Amino acid sequence: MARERVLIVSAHPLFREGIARLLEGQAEVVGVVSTWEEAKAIVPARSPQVIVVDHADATLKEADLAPLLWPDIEDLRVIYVTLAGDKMTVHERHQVIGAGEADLLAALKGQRSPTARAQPIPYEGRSQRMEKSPQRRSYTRHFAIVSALVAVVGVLSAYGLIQVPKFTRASAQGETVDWVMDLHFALIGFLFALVVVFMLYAVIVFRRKPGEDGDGDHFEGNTKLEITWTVLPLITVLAFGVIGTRTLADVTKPQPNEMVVEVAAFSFGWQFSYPEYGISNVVNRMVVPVNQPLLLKLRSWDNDVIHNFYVPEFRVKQDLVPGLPTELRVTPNRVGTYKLRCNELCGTGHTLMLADVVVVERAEFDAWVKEQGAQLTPEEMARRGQEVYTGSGCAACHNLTGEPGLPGPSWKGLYGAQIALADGSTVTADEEYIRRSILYPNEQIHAGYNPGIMPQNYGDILSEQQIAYLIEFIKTLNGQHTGH
Amino acid sequence: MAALTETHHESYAWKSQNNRLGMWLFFISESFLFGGLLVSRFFLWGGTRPDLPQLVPLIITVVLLLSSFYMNRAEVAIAHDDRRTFLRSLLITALLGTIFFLGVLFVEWGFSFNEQGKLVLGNHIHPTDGVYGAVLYGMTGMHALHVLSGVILILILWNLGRKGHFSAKEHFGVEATAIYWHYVDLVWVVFYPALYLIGTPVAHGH
Amino acid sequence: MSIFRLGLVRGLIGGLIGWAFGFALVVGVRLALGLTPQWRPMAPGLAAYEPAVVVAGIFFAIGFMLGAGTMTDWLKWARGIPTPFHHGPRIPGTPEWARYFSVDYSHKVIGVQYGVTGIFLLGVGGILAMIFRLQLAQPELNFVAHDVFNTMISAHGMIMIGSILLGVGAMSNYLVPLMIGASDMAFPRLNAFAYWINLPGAVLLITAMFIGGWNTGWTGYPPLSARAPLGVQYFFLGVFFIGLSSILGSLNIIVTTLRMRAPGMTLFRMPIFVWAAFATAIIQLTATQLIGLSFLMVLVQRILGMGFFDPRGPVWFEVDKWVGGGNPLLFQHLFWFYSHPAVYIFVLPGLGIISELLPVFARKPLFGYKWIAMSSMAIALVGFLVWAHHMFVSGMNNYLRVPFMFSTLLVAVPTGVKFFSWLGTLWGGRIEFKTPLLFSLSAISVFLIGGLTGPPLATVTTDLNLTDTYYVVGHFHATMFGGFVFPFFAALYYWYPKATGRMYSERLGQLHFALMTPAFWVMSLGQVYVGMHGMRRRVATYEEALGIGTGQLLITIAGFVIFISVLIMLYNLAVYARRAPKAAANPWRSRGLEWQIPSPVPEVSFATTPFVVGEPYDYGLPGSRYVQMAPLPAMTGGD
Repeated sequence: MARERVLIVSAHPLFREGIARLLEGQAEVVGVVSTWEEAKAIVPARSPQVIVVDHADATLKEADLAPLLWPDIEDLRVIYVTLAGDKMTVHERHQVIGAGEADLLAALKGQRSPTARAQPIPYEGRSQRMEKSPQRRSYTRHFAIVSALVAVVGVLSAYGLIQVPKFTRASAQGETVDWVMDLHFALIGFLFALVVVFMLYAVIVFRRKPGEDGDGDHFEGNTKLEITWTVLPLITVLAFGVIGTRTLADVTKPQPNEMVVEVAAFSFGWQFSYPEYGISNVVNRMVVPVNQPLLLKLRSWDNDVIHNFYVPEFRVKQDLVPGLPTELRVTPNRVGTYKLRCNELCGTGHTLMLADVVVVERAEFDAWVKEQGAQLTPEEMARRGQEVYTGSGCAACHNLTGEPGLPGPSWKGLYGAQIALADGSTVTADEEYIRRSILYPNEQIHAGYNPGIMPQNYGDILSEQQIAYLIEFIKTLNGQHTGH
Repeated sequence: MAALTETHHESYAWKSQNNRLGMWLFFISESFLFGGLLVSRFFLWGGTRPDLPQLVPLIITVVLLLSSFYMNRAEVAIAHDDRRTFLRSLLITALLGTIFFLGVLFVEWGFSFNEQGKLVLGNHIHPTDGVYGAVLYGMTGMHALHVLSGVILILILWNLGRKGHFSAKEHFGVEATAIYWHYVDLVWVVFYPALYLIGTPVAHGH
Repeated sequence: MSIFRLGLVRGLIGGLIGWAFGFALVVGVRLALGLTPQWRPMAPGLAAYEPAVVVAGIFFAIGFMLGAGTMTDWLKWARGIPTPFHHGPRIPGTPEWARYFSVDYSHKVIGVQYGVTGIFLLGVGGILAMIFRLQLAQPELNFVAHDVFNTMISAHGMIMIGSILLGVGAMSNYLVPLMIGASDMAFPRLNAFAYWINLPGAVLLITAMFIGGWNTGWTGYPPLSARAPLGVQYFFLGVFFIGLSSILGSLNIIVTTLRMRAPGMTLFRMPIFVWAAFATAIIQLTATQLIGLSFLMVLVQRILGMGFFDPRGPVWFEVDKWVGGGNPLLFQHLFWFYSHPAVYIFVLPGLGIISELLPVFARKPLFGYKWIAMSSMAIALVGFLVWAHHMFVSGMNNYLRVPFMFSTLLVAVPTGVKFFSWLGTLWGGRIEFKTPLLFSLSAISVFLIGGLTGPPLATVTTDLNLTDTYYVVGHFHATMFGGFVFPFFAALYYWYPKATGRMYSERLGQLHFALMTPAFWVMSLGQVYVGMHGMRRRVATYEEALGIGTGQLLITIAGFVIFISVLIMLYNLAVYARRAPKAAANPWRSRGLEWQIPSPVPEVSFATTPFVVGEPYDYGLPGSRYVQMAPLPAMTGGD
């Protein structure tokens, strides 16, 4: 094998001579110079493969740049040598790669001496490459212990969090909210245990004990682990996002037979109106029947500020904004008196902007409504009647247009009309007629139609109230009763 | 003890490169400000806009675009050591910029002095005219503030240039001011259609 | 030396002159236009001289900055007078102590100025908290009137935010140039300006409490802020100037990091804190404009009648035609577009400090350095996409809540990467329990509590219950303490010997840790608990019937313990350590670049160019080097 071409650079004659003598016969010394300037001058001409530089010579620090200065010299290397008395250290790329003459010669050939470790050991298969000090157990055992601890503490924490007594709950939506919160508690308990147990374990087991010198175990990372602890949390949060979306839809979805309560906030009180009952502006006291889905229509007075409707027992809240009507759906399902508290800072009176929310049995609510001196308006009853008409199957057989062709008579102009019956008699379609036609359909058959077609069980399907609504609805259907 | 003062780090080229990076970062930051205003316009006006006279905004837009031309002329001139053209173009730019600024204040916003010498807003839309007034004055006002500061910078440049500062080799201050001026122009190129051209016109109360 | 040579004093004098000038300007212009000197309030309840007061506030800041001397060099440049940069005091002959009270261009001086001012504001905010927590310690106490209470909590919030921004500025400014081997920041004068603008901002913010206060909370929502007392205007202006500091300071960090790293320092050989500071700077540079804009819009709504957020148009006496309604929700969108990324400004540097310190005290590499660096950038990016989770019950479009829920939950992923990487760094180490490490461990545990209480807020369903309750207060105090306060204290202890050349008392440090950490757990868990039991945010008192009196008492006591523990730290660092023996140049045996130079750091930090030749955190790898400093002395036989 060809001998390496070597250039020696040092300001110290002793260094130059010493290295040159050392390399005699082992390498081809193509130049011995004192300064970097001289070195730069002769490198292009002599093309050394290696430049041996005196490390102690402060003026030679530019030698590191040699491969950049002469890029066309293939594999140009710079080796630093420190000579102190009879001790020699050999450096390359500012890493100690050896000591002594044998290492210098090995470095010239690009070989690593067996005693030197210049490259970081790649992190692969820790158990074989990690030299454990006798006091430390292998990581496998540590992992096993920690995992067990995490499992125990995790389960205890999750359970503990879920079991902490919750604030009184009084709404159907609240059940969903509390259930999702419990799911979060489970995750929180587990993650808390995971991090804290690992951390405490590590600082206890891997602490520096008195008299111990040296550093920790050298590993820089683990791509598989990184990917795992990125992907698993990603899946988890996506799952929670889906659960959140579904439960949000649940909690906000319109219910059948919602009762509208209009809530207006001002600084610093509340007004409640019940449009269906013609009750308006009850101040600071909201009375509602239990298990009745409520549609709260919320707004702040136009020249007021933002407030927020929050009854902690209901577990949902919504801002009231001037100029922007908002809605909140809640179904109180527990009788009791709760406090409504404004939950958006609105000024000096914010702390005391409270109202009573009284959830009572239906009968008591009806009584209260009567007490307010109002009842369900005919318009509201008619509106509800229309809902019953479309929602309970009436529309399948009775149209509102007067055209023939359906199994049952049209309702157009029905109320107060003279009805010809199948047996030849005539009857006025008053409230009683309509009511009995629903409950006992075969009692009086409209001329031109057949018995046994209308279902017999509307008395079980519809409440008296709903029948009353239907009657009000029918009253609004003006026009000429065509006989069909 | 060798300090760092003699290395290339002190060179004009290296420093200018730092300044250039700093300047573009500043523009990125300002873009968020103008972007926020633009978002507000769309949030509050939606698909509508106030019904405003079109002639004056069009004129001042042309004036501003023209001023950018002259600003560029000034920069190119000093890059070729043509001091006379440099100074003259700077003054023209400043003049056009001032015309834009005064045009916004006195014609577009409609400030005028009545018989008693009091400053009043005439029949033009007022800043108090609901969201139309608020957004219009907000956007044109913020922009006008930047035009004013740009004019001041240009006049400072003119004064320094008059005294012999800047050369073909070293004129980063001119380059920076020129780009600032073009940036202000670009903002107007976006604001102008947003305020005056797009959307269904809605009459205001005056 | 005359006290009038100090920049702080000159600034205050200049500020007062500016204030008077601004006030007179408005009054004078009004008179010249034939109007009355005082402004007829455009809505009932507003103060008569409000525009004059506002303009005076702006000129206060201008006068302050001119008086202090922050603009002297630039004004000279405008006149063509060169002012070459030199190391050392700006005005030669200034004694060392006076440099800290004057405009100085050295990033080390500026870093200390940021830090001390930040700690001062921490104290002011803390005292406010102590007062109102006394009232909340038991139900139905009322010794603080409710409007004063509202001002206190509003001021507490924003003053603490200011304190955090200053602390972030302290760490970034002091450390980044040292860590990358730069002699100073890219723009030293801009750096000084960016520090000093905080002072008039802080003065205005504190003054706001005394000119009527404001009752809006730190969030300043209109329509309430449009009709709040006069103090709200100085609140807005104070925030404006503090925000300006953020923008200008971050610009400096970005340019310095990109352009002034030592040779051999590739991006992935930078200390991890520099990555954190860089990600933080990107957020500061861009998002801050939005809080400035949103506050400015309320400010002009008040004094010019520009009704951005008033649905009726403004309630002006003279306008009889209302053409189009403003929208209060617009404010919230603009405001939170900054204020959410802002919380990542607050925590990313502290999380970077944790990453920076663990390898030193565990004596092993930072686990997954590249992933941690990228996680800071990811958090910064995703942080811009989540703002509306503060608005889930605001009346915003109901369907839009879903994507924001997903984006908010997503932030947990890069945050988790950090937590797990910290565990990986501790695992297998040889851990030394010094105060900086102890505070890093506290930070991790506290930030964990904060982070884990986040997903219930991110999930809309549970947020409907929890938003605007004390649960949220618990969540953000835990994240702020875990992400900023604890790491900031860790950093103070860690770099104290480098900055001052003296060593603090390890025992006092451990006492601070032992008091503050459990106290904080009690405080945050207490806040979360009472929040789920009916305690709203921003209320001056609460009913006995809620049954949370004990919890509230514990929270208050914990707060006081924290306060005392911080006093112990101040004693340790400001009094004890000054007489302590000198510290070694590298007491922590750190590989960091700043530890290879003397302590305290000399005026010119690096006598020779440092060369980076290896990885920053290769603890435990024999023979590896991170930096190559001055060449070795001759004939000494090796390193």
